[in-house]
Amino acid sequence: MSKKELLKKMTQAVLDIDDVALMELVKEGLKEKIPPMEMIMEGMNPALTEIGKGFETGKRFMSDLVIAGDMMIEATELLRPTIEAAGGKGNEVMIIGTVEGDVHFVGKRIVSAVFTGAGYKVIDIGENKPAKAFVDAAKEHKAVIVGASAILSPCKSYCGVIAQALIDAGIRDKVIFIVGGWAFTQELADQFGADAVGVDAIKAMEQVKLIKAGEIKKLKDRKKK
Amino acid sequence: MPVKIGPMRNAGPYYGIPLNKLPAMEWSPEEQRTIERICEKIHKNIAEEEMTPMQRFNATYGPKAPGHRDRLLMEVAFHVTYAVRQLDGFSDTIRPLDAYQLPKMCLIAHLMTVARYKLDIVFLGPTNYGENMFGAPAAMIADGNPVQDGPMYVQSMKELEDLECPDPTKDGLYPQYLWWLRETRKIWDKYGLTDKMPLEGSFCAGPDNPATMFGYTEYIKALRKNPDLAKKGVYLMTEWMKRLGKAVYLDGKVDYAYMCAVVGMFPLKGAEWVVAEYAKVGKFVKAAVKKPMIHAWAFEPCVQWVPQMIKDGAVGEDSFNGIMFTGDVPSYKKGFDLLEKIDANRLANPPADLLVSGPMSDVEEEIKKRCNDAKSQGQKSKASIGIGAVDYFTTPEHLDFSVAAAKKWGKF
Repeated sequence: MSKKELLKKMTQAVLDIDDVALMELVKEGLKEKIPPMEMIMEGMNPALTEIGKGFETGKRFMSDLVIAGDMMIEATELLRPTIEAAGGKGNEVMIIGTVEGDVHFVGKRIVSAVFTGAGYKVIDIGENKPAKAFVDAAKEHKAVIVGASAILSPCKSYCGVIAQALIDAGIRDKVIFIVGGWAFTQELADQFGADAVGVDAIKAMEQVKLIKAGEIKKLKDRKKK
Repeated sequence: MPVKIGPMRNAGPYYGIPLNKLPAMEWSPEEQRTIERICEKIHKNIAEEEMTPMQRFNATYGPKAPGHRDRLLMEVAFHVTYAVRQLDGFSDTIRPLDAYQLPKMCLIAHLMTVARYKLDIVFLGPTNYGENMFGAPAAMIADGNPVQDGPMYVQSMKELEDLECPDPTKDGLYPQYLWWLRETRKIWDKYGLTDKMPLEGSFCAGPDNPATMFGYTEYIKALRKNPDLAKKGVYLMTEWMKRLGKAVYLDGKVDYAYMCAVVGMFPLKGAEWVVAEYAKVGKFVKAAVKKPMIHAWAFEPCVQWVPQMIKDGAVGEDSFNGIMFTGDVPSYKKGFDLLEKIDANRLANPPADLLVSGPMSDVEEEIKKRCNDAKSQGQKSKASIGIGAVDYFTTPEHLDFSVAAAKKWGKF
């Protein structure tokens, strides 16, 4: 089948939450030497975005997001060797983790999938992680985005510890620091030193895009008078 | 086969003691004085209004409901994380873990919250969601209810077939929970509040939340790929919910309870069989305890499930009285309209993050809207106004304002 048809089928496979079909299509795409980033950005990502927007309006379900996200991550792992062998993108790195004291991961996985779909190489450092783990990973992988997930409300303030650790490590200005979690407001995000808050995975991506496009200022620039 | 309860790391001194071995809570003179003052304040709060909360509750949920009310019953859902903030004056000193491990602290914290904010109901929310009840390892953590702490025990049908349903009076953290409820009732009796204010317990997290058996992702996958496994897990959860629900009322001595569940997390299509399990829980517990109880739902698509829940008997006189829609369900009105047709109880909460961020004018608008929807039939409405779940970062001023708004716009 043509590339266009294959990418269209990929989109549908994700929309249908059909992991078997998606993996078959990815393997076929590799055989046909379709560029992996095209499969991610034009095949899978539109479906994940549509599911994400559907979730916001109540038309799609949390379960769809979770499974579609997992499918994206699995498919991207299959494509990664080819991406890296070609020296291609997948290169802007996002570090994501759940903050110390919290062990939730479902939302973080969905965010990981959305950012993977947008072409980032997402490194998930896991749950219950101290600030040092975020900083060390950001430095090692030269991350452009650091994401911190805090579902448990009392743990949100730990994002402030991470922000300070990024400053102390001299890399705060090099990253977009985005946070997320239940009832995580913009005011709290500002208070804890984040550039943006993602109330859901799609909005997190939108916030990052807007910051990169200069349409939203990072926290430091917002605080300048 | 024996019940398989996983380990609970960091569980605290009362873990593992069956309910019938947990003695009456002993209070130091200082604690007794604290409790006495709290109860005095609650009496004073009650005296400020025309009706007692219990009168409003009976007019909303009692056998002769709907009855005359001065205003809508206000149901404020706050959890341990918020209750402990009253104990330490918002100084981030006492952790939720302290109250989870030590039910006496939990009890005082909750009564303090009721007194401070002039609430109608003592909301005694769950202190865990069954994380280790089906063999999985779990751990208590500083800032939230317990979490899974390792690989799930149930990996296949084999492990599931070996599992027995636990006993909430003996297993896991539940004896402590029931103890907390029971001892709150004793205080209520002692200080003359049993006839004045209802105690509300919980039996979470619903029949189709065998996340505690498989993990969320594995359960979602099982629904599609291994429905026999999913069903087996759900049937076991139904048994557990029946036992826990009954125990909360009969051992915990509450007037009212809610069952929170993940309705709306999954599509109804293909999962219609799950609704019958909700009905089984509702009918069993109602028949056993003959007291009101409601669902509590937090996913926006849950509204799509309402017709099936009504049709299959998961909402009705002999089952759950109605549904609480949390602040994450903006389209609650569709659910209200369906529940109104069958004269069922209903309430909706404004978004929790709005209570954190404000502005208060928006909070008031959201509360006013929900009050007006609840009063759609006037005194014939079997509806309430809800607030919650109150987030950790909700300031006292914001909660005070929200409560005042609910009382103002809830007036008939």
